[in-house]
Amino acid sequence: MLSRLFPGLVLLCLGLFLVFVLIPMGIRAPGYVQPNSLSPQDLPRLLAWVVVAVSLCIIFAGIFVGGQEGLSLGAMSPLRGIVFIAAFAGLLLLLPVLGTALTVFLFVFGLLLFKSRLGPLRSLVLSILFSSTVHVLFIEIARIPLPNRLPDLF
Amino acid sequence: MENLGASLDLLLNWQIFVYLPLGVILGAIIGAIPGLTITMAIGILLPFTLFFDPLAGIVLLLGITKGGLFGGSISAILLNVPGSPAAACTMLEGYPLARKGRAGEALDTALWASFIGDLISVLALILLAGMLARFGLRFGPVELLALVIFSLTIIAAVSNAGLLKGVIGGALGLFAGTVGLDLIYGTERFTFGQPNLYDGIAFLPLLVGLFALPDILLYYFRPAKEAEIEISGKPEQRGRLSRANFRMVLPTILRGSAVGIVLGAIPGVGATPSTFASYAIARKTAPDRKEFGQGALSGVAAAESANSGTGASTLIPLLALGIPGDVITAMLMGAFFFHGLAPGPNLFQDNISFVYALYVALLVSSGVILVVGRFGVPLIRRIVEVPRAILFPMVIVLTVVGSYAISNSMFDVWVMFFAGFVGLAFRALRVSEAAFLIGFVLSPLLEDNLQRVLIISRGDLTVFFSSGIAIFFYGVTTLVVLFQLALSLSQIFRPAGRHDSAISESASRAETDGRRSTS
Repeated sequence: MLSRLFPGLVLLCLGLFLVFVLIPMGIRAPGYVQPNSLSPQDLPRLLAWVVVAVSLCIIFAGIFVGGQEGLSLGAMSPLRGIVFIAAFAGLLLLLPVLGTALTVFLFVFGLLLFKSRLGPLRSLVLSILFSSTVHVLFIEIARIPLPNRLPDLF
Repeated sequence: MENLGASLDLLLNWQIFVYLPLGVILGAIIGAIPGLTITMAIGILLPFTLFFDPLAGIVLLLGITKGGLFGGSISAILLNVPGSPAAACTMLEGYPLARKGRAGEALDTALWASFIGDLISVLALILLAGMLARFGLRFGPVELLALVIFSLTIIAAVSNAGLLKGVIGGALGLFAGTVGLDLIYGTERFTFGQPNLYDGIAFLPLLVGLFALPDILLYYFRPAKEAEIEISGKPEQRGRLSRANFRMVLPTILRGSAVGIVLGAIPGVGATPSTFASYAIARKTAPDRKEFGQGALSGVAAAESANSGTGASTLIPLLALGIPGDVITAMLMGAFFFHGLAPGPNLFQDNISFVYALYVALLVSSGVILVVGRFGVPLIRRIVEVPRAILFPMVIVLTVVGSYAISNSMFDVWVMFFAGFVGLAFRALRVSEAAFLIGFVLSPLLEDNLQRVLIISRGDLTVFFSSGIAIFFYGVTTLVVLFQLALSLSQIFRPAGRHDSAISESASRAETDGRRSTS
């Protein structure tokens, strides 16, 4: 029962957060609003109330109507997920520091070792090939100003 | 004549000759890989197309869409794994055919159905979009507001997540679209002093995060055994579709194409429901209907023609009225804007040579599908078998590079990163991401026109119903919502039939496979 109500409750909390916290904090009302027109707060507030009203309907449907789905993402292994998120965040944090080629190499090599069955040597070769391709294709040819530390290293 | 000459100039560009076939090939490969989807591919590649000429960039994306619609059938027939939810019916009939040693016939049927469906769909686009655009020129703020409300409601009503979760998705999308400086007063909304948000949340990083990352996150969150899709059986690809069988399936293909075109042009319906509707009709009318469930060529033909029939017809409301009907057209709308083109009636007035060139490119790409399907299937099949553990790290790097390339800013990359978790939360709560994205895209249009109507009204709310066109849109919106509510109630009380449950099982398997690796 609770699992069926959970999505509605989460959405209700989100709607209430929008109405009572985010909108008052995020929008400062202008000093003068033209008559018969929307102030900057009006549409967001209306939409937030729609979220509140509809999530109440979802909770109502969860109580009285069968077949409502709860939270569902299938079997999960949180530890694996956390390792991946850490690697991903590491990629974004290290990109400006180590440059594109080295960061991409470390990220791809790490993930290949972590999840694929290629083995260390083939993972290493593939990571070097891919990071070099990214560097040549996007930095040298397409001239996208991605962080590039190779000139500092060599 | 002057416009035709200008269109020819646009078309005779080396980029078109490279990117048009490349798009179809990439689409066919991506559509065939159960872990990747067309939306993911477009999300990843869209930022890179900004460096191309407008026509070349848009043609590449359209090629991916068209190739992807066909590509889903390859893995469905050969590997019993639908590359996309829309290929579920193809799998239901195509794989049993392959098990009987008729994989070549099934693939040929899928190919011809895709080609004919797509071609007719492009012709329908050419015929109808201009007419609809001329009609669209009569729209003022009252009609545009009604059209936006109509589109959002229909998209929410027919979304897989159900009406309520569709409405929530649309409302949150509209809300997210209000971030940035207010259009009239210039007030900051939800920027919290961050200058990167003055123009609102960047569309492309949001798109990439919402549609490419959740599947990858889910893949890495799953236990090792569950993460890879098991590919069962590798039937031989032999035999070709005979002329007699082609004549047999042709009426089904034409019927399926018509279903795809009509349903595809309605905002929010898209490929999957069109495929199921066409399959259901063929089950009752096809000459080989007794073989349905055990491998019927007409089943493959019905599903694939309807699937590809939606390819160009979803562009009708986008090009003619500036209203995206599904996620892919919402993405394409973003691509148009980035290239300085505004889809809608004015596109036909200001850039008609571009529209003509686009039509020609779409027609040519239909032919490219035929060539790719005829000669590329063995290669595509090999690529399909590359494990996602190898593909996904590279896909992630491309999402990062693509998001960075839009404005050379790490801020956009972080937006993409967080949008990925928002997309994951939407999956968990079963909130419609499609409705969210379309709400986000239509938010400025809704607010702008609502503001104008309110100012025009001077307090008189009857202005909202002062136009016949607006009343028509409000009427249809109400009818669709009532119909959807009645349908939901009837489904609660009606037990599913045996074959229906087989279809829905395969559809849910397609969706699960898709979600397991992608959606």
